[in-house]
Formats: sequence, structure tokens, C-alpha cells
Amino acid sequence: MTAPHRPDPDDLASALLDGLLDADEAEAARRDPAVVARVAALAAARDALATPPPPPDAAGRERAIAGALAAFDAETSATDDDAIAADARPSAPPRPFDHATPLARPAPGGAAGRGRGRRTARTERWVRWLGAAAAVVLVVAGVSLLARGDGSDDADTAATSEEVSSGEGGAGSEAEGSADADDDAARDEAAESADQGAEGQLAPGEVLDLGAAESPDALADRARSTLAAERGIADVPVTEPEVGAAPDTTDPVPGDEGQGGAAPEQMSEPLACPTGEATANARGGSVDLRARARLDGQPVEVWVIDVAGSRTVLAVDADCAVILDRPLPG
Amino acid sequence: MGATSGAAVEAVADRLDVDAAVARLPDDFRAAVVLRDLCDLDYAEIARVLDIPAGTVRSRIARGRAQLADLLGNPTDPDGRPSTRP
Repeated sequence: MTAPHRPDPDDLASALLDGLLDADEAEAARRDPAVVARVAALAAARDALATPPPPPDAAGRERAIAGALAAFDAETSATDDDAIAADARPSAPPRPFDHATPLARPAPGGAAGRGRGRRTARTERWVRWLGAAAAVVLVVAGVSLLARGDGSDDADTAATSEEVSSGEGGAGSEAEGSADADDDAARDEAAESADQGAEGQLAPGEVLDLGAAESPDALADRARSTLAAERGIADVPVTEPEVGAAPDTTDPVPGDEGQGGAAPEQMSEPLACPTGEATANARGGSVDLRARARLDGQPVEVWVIDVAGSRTVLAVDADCAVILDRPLPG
Repeated sequence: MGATSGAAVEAVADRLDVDAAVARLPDDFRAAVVLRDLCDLDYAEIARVLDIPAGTVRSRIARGRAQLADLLGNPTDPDGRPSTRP
């Protein structure tokens, strides 16, 4: 004979909670104290699972957000610097809501106030970082500019050295201290180079106007004076113009610039006759001077040719016929 | 204000305890209990979703609820029997 089946109290209680029992079964279950006790326990578990926690009100939500932000700020800024760490360190363990401050109206000195202080500190750190980055950029740019200046100012340096040796480069030497001064000195040196030429070397195509001469001797003297004055060649003596060979008042007088005379005019039109260059090539020399002049009222073209240090003045008439070929006087 | 904050904290803590207890349930019991008490499905729908007989659904829900009550500290068994069940 088997014992009568006794239903599980949990099964009966669960079924009673869900209304699965008919009236007789439910009445029988309610008479069983074990089932009644389990009904209460299972109902509590069911309600705990089915009931979500009530959402906080708006003020509570703001306090929770402020508290979370304050805790995050304290966490992230604790290791930045001692002052911020001291400010962020609470005197008691932080509690999620007690020290929270509403976001809408933060209390001075409260969590939001400390948050403002930390934000200010973060801003200052950013400013320091930006300052350091700007300094690095300036240093790199300055070094690159200096490096570029060293590479491109060799000619300037050489020209400055020449000026110093000739007693004219004091200002240029003093101007080497800054980039602007370097630029000014470079412009000055370029202008002086244009005035003086480079060691007697004639610029390609440069043609001067010697003015009028009454005789071949006067023309030769004019060429010598012009070469000495305009090319700065030390071994060409400068002599006073010959008496009676003075140019007319309408023509510039080479070598008389310091006395109020005009400098020889530079002419852009090249000479018509190739005689000077051909002669220089044939003699193995170079052309020191190209010029136009008037000899006895007739236009002539003049060259000074340097052959191994010995200079010759060469002149041709309008038909490129040689009318003067003699050593440079003096 | 302090009482309200304390209640909110307690509600959150209770919810965390419930979630931890549900996580400790066996998978079969947890699925049945969650579908019934959280998703509010009836037994037939749970049987269809889990592809099990309706009687099994009833048994799993009853056992799952009982274990959950024990885990949540409601040992109200008047006979003092062990609260843990397979």
C-alpha cells in the first residue's frame, strides 16, 4: 500500500499565485499552513523581480549626476598636482548622494564649486601645454631659418668681407646681428656691387657712354679714367683730364663724379661691332670695358682689352673699322 | 531629502541583490521565472517560447521562485526543511 501523494507546497503556492488552481484546489491550498507560508515567500520574490526600482525625481537625478561628476573629477585629477589632489581629497569616504550638489544652482564651495576649480586647473594645464608647444614650434622655425640663412648668405658674407677690407663695410658688419639687418646689408651690398663691379669684371652686355673726345689720345684717357673710376681697378691710374680734351658740357665726364660731374651713362643697347670681343679672343684676353663715345663728332665704339695684365684700348668707327688700338695710357 | 536619498540607495541595492539572485538560478529555472514574472508571459506562451510542455513550465516556475525566495532571504518554510533545491 502506498502513501497518499502530497503535493509540493512550492508548486501549490506558485500555482495559487498565478491562479492556476480551481476553487476546490485553491481552498485546499489555503488550508495548508505550509502552502500559505510559501505563497508569501514566493510572492515577495515575484514582486522583487517584477518591480523595478522607482526612478529618482529630477532633483535627485541632478544630485546623482553632480555626485558622479565630482567623483570622476576627483578620480582623474588626483594625480595631476598636489594642490588639486588636496582639494579633491574628501575628509570622509565619498557617499554617492550626500555631497552631491544640484547642477542648476551649485552651492559655492560645494561639489560643483570644486568642479569649477578643477576645470580651471585643467584649463591652466592646457594653457601650459599650448605654451610649451608654441615655444617648440618657434624654436624649430628659428633653427630652420638660421640654417637657411647660413646656406644662402655666403655671397653676402663674402661681399661684407670685401667691404671690410676696403674700409666701407662697417655698417654691413654691424648689421649681421639680425635677419632684417642682414637683408638690409644684402641690399646695400648689392647696390655697391652694381656701382663698383666685381674686381674689374664687366657685366655681360654692359655698355658705358664715354661722351665726346676731340682726339684719340683724349679718348684713350677717357677710357682709362672710366675704367679706373667705374671698375675700381687699382692698377689703372687716375689722372686729371688733359687740358683741351675736356668733354663738352652736355656729356658726362667719367671720373669727375666727386666734383659734381655725372657718372657715365649705362646703355642697354649692345655694341654694333664685334671687334672688341674678337680681338680679345684672338689675343687670349678679356674685355674690361665696353663703351660708346664720339670722336670728332663721329660715333665710335670703344673696348679696353686685358691681355695678361696688359690693357689695350681699341676703338672702331661706325663701319667697325679700327681707328684706335694702343696700350692704355698710364 | 536625506530620507529620500537613502530610500533610493536602498532600492538600488535591493535591485542589485535581486539581479544577483536571479543570476544564480539554473538556466532552465531562470528562463521560466524571468519570462513569467518579468516579461509577464502566460504559461502557454512560455511553453511555446521554450518549447517545453506546460506542466514543465509550471514546475520550473515554482522551483525557480522557491529558490529565488531562498536566495533573497525569505526562508519561510515552516517545516525547516532545506531551502536549496536542485
